[in-house]
Amino acid sequence: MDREPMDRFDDALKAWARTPPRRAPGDAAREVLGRLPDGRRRSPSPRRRARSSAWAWANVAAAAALVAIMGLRFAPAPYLMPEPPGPSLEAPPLPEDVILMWLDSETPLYLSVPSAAAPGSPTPHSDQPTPRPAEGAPTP
Amino acid sequence: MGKNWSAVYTVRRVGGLLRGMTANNASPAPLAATVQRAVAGDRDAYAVLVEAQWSRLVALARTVLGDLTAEDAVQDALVAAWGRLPELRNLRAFSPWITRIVLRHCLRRRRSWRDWLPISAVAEPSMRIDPDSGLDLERCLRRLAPRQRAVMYLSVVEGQSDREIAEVLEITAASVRSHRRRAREQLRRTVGDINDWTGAADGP
Repeated sequence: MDREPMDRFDDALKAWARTPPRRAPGDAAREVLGRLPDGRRRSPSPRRRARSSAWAWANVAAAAALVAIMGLRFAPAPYLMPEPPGPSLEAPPLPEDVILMWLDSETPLYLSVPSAAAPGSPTPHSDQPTPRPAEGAPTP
Repeated sequence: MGKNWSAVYTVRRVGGLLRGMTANNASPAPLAATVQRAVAGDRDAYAVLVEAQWSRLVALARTVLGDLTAEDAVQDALVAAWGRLPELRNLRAFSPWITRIVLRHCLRRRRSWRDWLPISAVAEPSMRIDPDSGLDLERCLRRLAPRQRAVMYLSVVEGQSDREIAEVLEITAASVRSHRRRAREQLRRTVGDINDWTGAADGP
């Protein structure tokens, strides 16, 4: 009878598997027993488990510290880091009858104070710096 | 000089209680109790388990590695498994657990050398050609990858399901089916190359 090749392979494999090993099971067990290490097995003991647990916590703490450091370094935290210096606004030299006031850190207000002989109140100017009057020229 | 454990085992061996026990026909209760004692450090109990599993583990290792090194590989794996017994959670799953360890050991060993060590190097010539089918088993197995050999053995010889094989090999059931399909295809090609089905032995 012409059997399927796969059936033949399966039968051959089963027959091959039934071949007894060279060492009898009892002899093999005795040999394995003779090779087992004396004393404690290589197994996680409670002390070893505690040690590995401590290492695990140390790793977690180190990772958390690293994250905190990276966060502080790169995250915006103005109260921690000095404010970067802004553009320096140096007021131009002012004439004697001009008062400079700062409405905010970037907005100057120039007030010209008339001389004691001249009537009127101080006149506000725009935030443009008052050009330095030429010598002899009247002050606006 | 250390204690002669083999002699102690011979004297204290549980005579007859677990004789002939295999992974397939052992009743669960005594096996689980023996496994529990082995996990607790009872060497005699472990020796009983080794004796019960030895033949089938060697047969599996021979399929993957060939006859030359199979028994040594299984012994090495059993010695290593003793140290890992505390990892065994399900006492009733000792058989797939030990099979997984032995198979992992065999696959690792197989990767360390390239050539298939011929069965015929040690075995009798009659083992090379199956007398009933006339099939050159060595040639057939040589064409398969180690994992494919393991899948074919566990499927054909032990009749395990895809899920059980997947658990042993630590792969998915779909991978098991894929390995088996490819193994079958390769075997069909191999068998097709063998023109002589009448059992004539190949030349040396």
